[in-house]
Amino acid sequence: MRSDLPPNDGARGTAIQTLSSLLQLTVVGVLIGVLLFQGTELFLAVQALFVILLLLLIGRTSAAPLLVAFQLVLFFRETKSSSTLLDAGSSLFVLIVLGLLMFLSRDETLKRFTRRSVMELGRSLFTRGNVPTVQPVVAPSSLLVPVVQGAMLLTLCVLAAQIVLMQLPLPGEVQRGQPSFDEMRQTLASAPTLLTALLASVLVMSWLSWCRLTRGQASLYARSTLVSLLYSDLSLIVRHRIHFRRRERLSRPANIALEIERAIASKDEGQNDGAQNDQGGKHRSFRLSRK
Amino acid sequence: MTPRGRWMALPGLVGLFLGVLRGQAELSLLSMAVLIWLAVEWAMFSWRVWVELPQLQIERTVNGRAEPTGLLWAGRVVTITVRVTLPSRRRSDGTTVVPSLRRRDGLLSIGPLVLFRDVVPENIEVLERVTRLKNVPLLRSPRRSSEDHQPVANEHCFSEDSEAVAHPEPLAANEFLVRERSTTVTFTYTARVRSAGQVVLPGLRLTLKDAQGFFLAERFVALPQTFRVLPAYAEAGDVHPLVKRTNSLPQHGIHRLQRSGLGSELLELREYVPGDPPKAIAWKVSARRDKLMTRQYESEVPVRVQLFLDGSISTRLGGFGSRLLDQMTYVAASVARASISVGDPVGAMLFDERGAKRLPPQGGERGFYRLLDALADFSINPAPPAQSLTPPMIAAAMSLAGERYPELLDGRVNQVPFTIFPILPWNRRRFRERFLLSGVLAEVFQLTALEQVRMMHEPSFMAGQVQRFLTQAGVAWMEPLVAGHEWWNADHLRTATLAEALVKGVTHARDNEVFVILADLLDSAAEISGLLPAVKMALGRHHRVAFVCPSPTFRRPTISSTEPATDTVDDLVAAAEQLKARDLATGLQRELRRLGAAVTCSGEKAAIHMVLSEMEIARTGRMSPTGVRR
Repeated sequence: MRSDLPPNDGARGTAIQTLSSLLQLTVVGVLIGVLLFQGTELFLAVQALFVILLLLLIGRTSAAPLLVAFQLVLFFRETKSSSTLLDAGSSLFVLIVLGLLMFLSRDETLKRFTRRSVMELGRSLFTRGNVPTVQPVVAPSSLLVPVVQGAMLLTLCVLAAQIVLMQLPLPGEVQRGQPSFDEMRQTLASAPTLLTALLASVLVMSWLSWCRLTRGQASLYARSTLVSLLYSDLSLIVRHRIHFRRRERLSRPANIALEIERAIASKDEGQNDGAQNDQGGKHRSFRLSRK
Repeated sequence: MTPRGRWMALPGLVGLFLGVLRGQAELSLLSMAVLIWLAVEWAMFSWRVWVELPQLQIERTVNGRAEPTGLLWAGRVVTITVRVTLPSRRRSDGTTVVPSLRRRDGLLSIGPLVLFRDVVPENIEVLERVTRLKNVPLLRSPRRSSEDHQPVANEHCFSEDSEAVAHPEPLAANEFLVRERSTTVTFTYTARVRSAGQVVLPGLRLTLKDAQGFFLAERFVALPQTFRVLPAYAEAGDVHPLVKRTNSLPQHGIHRLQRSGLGSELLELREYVPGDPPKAIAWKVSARRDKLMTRQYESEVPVRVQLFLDGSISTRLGGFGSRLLDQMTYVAASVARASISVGDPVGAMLFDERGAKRLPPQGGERGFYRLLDALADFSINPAPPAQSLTPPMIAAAMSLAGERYPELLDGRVNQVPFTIFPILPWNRRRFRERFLLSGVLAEVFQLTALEQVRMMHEPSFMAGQVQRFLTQAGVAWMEPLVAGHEWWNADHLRTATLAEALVKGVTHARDNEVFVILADLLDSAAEISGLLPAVKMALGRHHRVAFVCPSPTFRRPTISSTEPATDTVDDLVAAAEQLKARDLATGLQRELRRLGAAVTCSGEKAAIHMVLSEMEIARTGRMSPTGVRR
C-alpha cells in the first residue's frame, strides 16, 4: 500500500495554472526569506539562492528542513536568557512559521514542481495544454474553512506552548544563577502532582489502547508476549526435537545397511540351500523391506 | 506516525531541549508549539481511527447481489459496487434517523483523506471505473433537507470524468479516495473473472491519513464473499461442424448408428441365417434372388461422451486464465454444451495426483450444470507441493500479510523477543521480519506457541505454512509459491493414472462412446507407451478416442506459428516454446494416430471442432469423416 496519498495534479498543462502556482510559491519564498534573514546583511542573491535550495529540499522531502532552518536561525540569533515569552512579536513570528509549516506540509504544489523537470515546466508555461472543460464544483466557503480552522488550531497551539513554558522555571531564573530553595519550592511542590498525573494518563491511555484492540490483535498480543517471555525455552525444545529427528534420519541408513547385510546373508544361505535341494533351479528372489 | 511526522517531531524535541537549556524563549516557544501541534493532530487523528472507522458500514454488491456466496462465470464481466455509509437507525414510521453524534457536522464522517480499496484476488482482473454521475457532489438531498431534524446528506459518487479533473492521479478502478467529509461513499467498477474455480473477495483496505501526512493508519475490513466460478464455454452454434446430418429425425438424443441393430432405418440386406426373425425376411427380394434374404436394420443408440480431464501439477502452474487446466476446462465445457444440446449425455473422469473422480454420464441442463460444478471444483488449486523456503516466498507472504492483516504487523501487538543472535544488522532484520510473519501465520491458523517457534527454526515447516497462507488467499501457482521442476515432470505417473482412468472408463462404458482425453501429454511423448494399451482397448471396443493436449501458448504448434512476429524477447521466447511444442506434438501425434485416435495440440476452438467431428462420426457409425464404414 502506498504510504503517500497521490497529489492533486489537476492543473497540469495549463499555463495560467502553472503561473499561479509559481506566484504562490514565490510569495511563500519571499515570506520565508524575510523571516529567515531579517536583520542580516547578506546579498539578496545569496538569500534568494538559499531560499530556492531550501524550497527544493522541502519539495523533495518534507517541511521539516524549514523548521530546522528557523530553529538554527533562532539558535544563533537569539541571545541566551532572552526576555519573557509573552511578547506579541515572538508569538506572531512563531505563528507565521507554524502556518508556513502547515501550508507546505499540506499543499502538494511544491512537490509537483520539484518532481518535474525544468524543460517540462517551461513547456507547460508556453503551451495551452488541456484546459479542463468540467471544473470541479468547489464552494468558495470550502476554501476558507480549512484556512480558518488551521489558523485557529495553530493559535491555540502557540498559546498552549506559552502557558506550558510559563510553568517552567526557565529561562529567567535558572540562567541568572543558583536559585534558592524557597524560589524553587513552588516548582518542586508541583512535581508529585505532575508525576501522578503523568502516571494516571499513561494508565488511562494503555487501558484505552487495550480496549481499542481488535480480537485478533488482542489474541496476537497475548500470544507474542508469551512467546517473547518463553522464547529461549521454546527454542531449546524445538531445537532438541529437530536434532532428534535429524539424528533418527541419519541413523536410518545404518539400519538399512544392517538389513542389507542380513539379506545378503540369508541370500547366501538360500543359495546354498537351493544348490543343495534344487539342483540347477532358479534362485529365489527376495525383497528388502524398509522399516 | 509516518517518517514525515517523525522528522517533524525530532527537531521539535531537540529545539525544545536546547531552547530550555540555553534559555532561548523564541526557540523554546517554536519547538514547544510544534510539539503541541503534533500532539493535537495525533489526538484528532486518533479520534478518527478509534471512533469513526469502526462506525463505517460497508456493503459490497457483485452484479447487484450482496449475498456472501454466489455464482460467477469465467471470462465474463462483473459489476462490483461498494457502498460505505455511517450507521443510522430507523424510526417506527420508516424514516431514517442519523445518530445525534452525526448531527453535529464534523464529529462523525467519512474522510477526509481516506483511501478505500476493494481487495481482489489474482483470479479477478479489474477493468474500469463505472461512470454514474456527470457532476461530482450531490451536495444536498432535496427530500431530506425538508426535514429540519435531519442533516444534509453529503454523498460522494464520483464519475470518471469528474474524477479525471479532480484526481487525475493513477488510482486503480477498485480504489477510491475521499478528499472531503461525507456521509456516504459509493464507487462502482467492472472486473473480469479470469478462470474457473473459486473467487473470494476478502474485504476492503482502508488507508487513513491526516492533512499533513504526519499520521497514517491502515485497516482491513473483512467483507468476505465467496463465489464458485463456472468455466466458460463456446456456444454449440459457434463450433458445430458442417457435417451432413441424417435425413430422418430420430428421437432427441438418439442417433442412427450404421451398425446392425433394432432401429427403424434399413442398413443392408443379407442372406438368411437360421434364427433370424421371420418378420425380418425381405420376401420380395428373396423371391427375386430365389433365396431367403433378411433385412438388417440400423442401430439407434445414444452417443455418450466421457471427458477425461487431467488436473496434475503441470496443468495448474501459471497465472489464472493461462493455466493448461483453464484451456482444458474451456474445451470440456464447450464439448459438454454441444453434446447436451443434441441430447447426448456427458460424463467425466477428473484425475490428478490425488486420484480420480468419476461423474457418470447425464444429459439435460441439470447434467450440464452438475458437470460445470464439478469442473469448477476441480479447477480450484489444492495445497501446492512442499517447497523449500525462499526469500521471495517470505517477501510475498509479508506483502500479503501487510495487505490483509496490517494491524497484526504492528510491532506493539506482534512483539519480537530480544535475542543476542543474530548479530549482523541485515540478519537481525530478516529475523524480525520472519518472526512477525510467524506471528501472523500462527494467529491466522491458530497454531500453538511451540509451532510458532518451530517456524523460526524449521524452514520446511515455515514454507508449508507460507504456502498454505498464499494458496488460501488465491495466489496462483507461480514463483515464488512453487519453484523447481522435480515433481511436475512426473510423466510416468500421469500416463499411468490416465491409463488407469481410461480402463476404468471403458469398463463402465456401454456401446458407442466417445472418450475425450484432455491431458498435458506434450511432455509425456516418451512415456506414452504406458497409455497405448488402454487406448487400444477402448478403440477395440468400438469407442472413439480423441486427445486434446493443450499447448502452453494456447496456439496450435504449426509451422507458421513457430516464427516470431517481432524480435522482442517475449515473441522470441513464445516462438521457442511453440517450436518445442511442435517437435513434441509431432511424435505424440504419430504414436496416437497410428492407433486410430484423433489428436490435437491446442486449447482453442480447433480442439472443440475436432472433438465435435469425432462425436459426429460416432453418431453416424462411420469410421472417418469420408464415410468409410466399419
